[in-house]
Amino acid sequence: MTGFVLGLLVVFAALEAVVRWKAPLFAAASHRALTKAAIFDLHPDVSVLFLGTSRTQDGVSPPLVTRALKESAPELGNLAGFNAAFTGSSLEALMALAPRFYARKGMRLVVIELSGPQITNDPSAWEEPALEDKTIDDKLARAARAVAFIRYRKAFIPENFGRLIKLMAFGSSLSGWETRTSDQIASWRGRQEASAADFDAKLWSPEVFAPSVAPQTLKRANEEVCVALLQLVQQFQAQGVKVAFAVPPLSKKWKRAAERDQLRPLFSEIARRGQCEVWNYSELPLNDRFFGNPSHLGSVGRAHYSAALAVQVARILKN
Amino acid sequence: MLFNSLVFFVLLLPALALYWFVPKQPFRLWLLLAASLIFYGFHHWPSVFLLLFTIAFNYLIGRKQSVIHSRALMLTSVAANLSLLLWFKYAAFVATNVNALLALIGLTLNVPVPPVFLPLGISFFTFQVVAYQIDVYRGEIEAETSLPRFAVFKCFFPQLIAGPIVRAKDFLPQLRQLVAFDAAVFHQGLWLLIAGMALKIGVADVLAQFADEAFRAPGELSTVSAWTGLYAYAFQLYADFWGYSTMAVGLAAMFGLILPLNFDTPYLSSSLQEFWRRWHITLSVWFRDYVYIPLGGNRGRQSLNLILTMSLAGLWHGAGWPFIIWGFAHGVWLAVERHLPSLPSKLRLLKPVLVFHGVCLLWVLFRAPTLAVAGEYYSRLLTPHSSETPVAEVLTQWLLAFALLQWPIAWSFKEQRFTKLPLWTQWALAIVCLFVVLAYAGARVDFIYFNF
Repeated sequence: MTGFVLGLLVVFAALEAVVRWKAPLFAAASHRALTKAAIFDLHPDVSVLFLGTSRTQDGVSPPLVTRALKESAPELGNLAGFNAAFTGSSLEALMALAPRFYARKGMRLVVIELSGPQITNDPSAWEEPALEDKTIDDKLARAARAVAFIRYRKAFIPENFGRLIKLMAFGSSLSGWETRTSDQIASWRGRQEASAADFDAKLWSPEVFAPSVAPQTLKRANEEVCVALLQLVQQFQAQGVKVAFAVPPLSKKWKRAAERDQLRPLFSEIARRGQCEVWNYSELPLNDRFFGNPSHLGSVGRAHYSAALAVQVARILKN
Repeated sequence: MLFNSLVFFVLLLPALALYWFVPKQPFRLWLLLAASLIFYGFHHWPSVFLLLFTIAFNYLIGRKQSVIHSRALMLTSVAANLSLLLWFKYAAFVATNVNALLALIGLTLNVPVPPVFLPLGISFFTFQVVAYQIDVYRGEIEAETSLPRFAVFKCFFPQLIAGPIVRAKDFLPQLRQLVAFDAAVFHQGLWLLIAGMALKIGVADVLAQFADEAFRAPGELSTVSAWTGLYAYAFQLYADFWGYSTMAVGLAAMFGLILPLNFDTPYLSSSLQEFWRRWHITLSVWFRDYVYIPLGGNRGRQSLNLILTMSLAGLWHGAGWPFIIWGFAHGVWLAVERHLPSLPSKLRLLKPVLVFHGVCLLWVLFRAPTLAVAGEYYSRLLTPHSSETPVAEVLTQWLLAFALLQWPIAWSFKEQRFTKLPLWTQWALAIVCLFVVLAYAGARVDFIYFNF
């Protein structure tokens, strides 16, 4: 029995040491938003940042954007990109994480997804709820958080633990779109994704809502969203970072077509009041081969959407 | 105080240390009694007075019984104990149903419905002490002469509120001797405590989210989601109660006391009879010895005895018609099962699957708050419905993992087998369990059987 107990004590002492040593990574692994932010921190040079939900996460490959920019606008220099979008992203998450992004020196443009899920997803907490110290158990729980592996214990939930391992193993080589382990390993090994061979710039040309659009009346809910997004825009602009919004492509099979119509006035108002452009790709007549499912691009779609975004990014950055 | 609360562990450590460092049996008995009363009173301190009253009452009746050997006294003591249970657990149910029945025939008597308050564990400690009184009357055991020893038997904190239901002939002799520290027993106890916590926190509480969601609005479920929701509940219930019982047995072992295991992979049973020999074993044995056999057992009206016994078992689980119907259905199934021809040998492997699904179907009654909700759930289970919402992948993974792991986990609980495993295997298993506990701790979901 002594060996058993001593062994456990040694393991937990070692665990405590490791967690204290790598505390930021353990903290980051507890939520996919924090994981993305932590991977971003591992990339010192990011010029173009993409924020959004899984639609953007699956749809934008920063290396492909960078490659396309190099080819089409070499005068802009080497513009490294990073995809900080994550599944279930919400307006609250964007607002909370923004300071971790806009403070980065060298950032030139942030492209923020504008979509139904991005503005309506429920906020998901990533901090342990504050304890009210009402009961002895609360007080003990607060005291127990002094132990690092208890404080960051959410990292041990299987899903998060997998994220922690990937963060530790591949973090610095990921550019943010790689959700599958095979893609993460490929990026870690330096394998490059194929560019869109038959890219049709005309097909992939978005409807652009420019700052000069006519004013629109917004419903109350959209007005609140607009105000929040404008606050976000101002925060980036105050740091000298340009802002654009992108509405990701949707398949013709996408059932919630009303999502498009309800958001159009919002696109206009954000462009007008925020003095930034909104690129609407959601109504392009795209073939099913671009999509993994009706609301998310597949690998072919990702290559094309990345190339399409590069065109707009170059235009904005040249101005 | 819950086994899965921090305060429990903070109090447990000094209690264990004192227990083993002071080798005086009277001291240990008082220590266990004090620990048990603190443990019980932490949840609702006035209930301690009820507990103390029943201890004193049953101690005195037991002593008297050993002198006069009176059937009337035994029946009085049983009736007194059951009347407490009846009052706290069933009075509101009875009053509500009497009022409803009278309303049906046009009478409005308005029998007052007493406020519902269920002292924690009353179903368990009542059954334990009823068995004691009957055993003393039958002469199977001597009435306990030491009040602190009897009190510890009555309210030993690891098993006080949700069992296992301990028999006096098994437990009291252990309290009469000064137990020497046995590292192997303590070691196995520690493993049972860790594994029990993992079952509760890492399996039951995780599955609870899915089961609760399924039963919240069954009308929105597809057939597939209804079944996975039901599987989630079946395994939640199992892991919850198995986890609690295992922690209880482990805690007792850490005090050098041996309690019976309460589960033995019941979902792998090939018949309902076998299921009840492997699910909540101490309760099944109690009903067999103190209800089924006195009713006549296998002689004469066997089917009726089975149905009656299981209906009472249903009622024991909760004051509500779904529980009674659940018990009745089990009784009918047990009665019918005895007359069914056996399956051809090629199809024998199907039996555990059929039994598991039959048991699952009846769990709907156990979980649904009303018969109407149960009916709605059955309609989703048994008629095709579709939905756009897919079944959560993590639920499928969790269910499969637990379904496959239940046998090796149960294997390690028996006969100090865990202590005989290679040390690295012990570490690996304990670390996995502790990580699971660490990751999922915090929900503080009550143990389901606390309600019974």
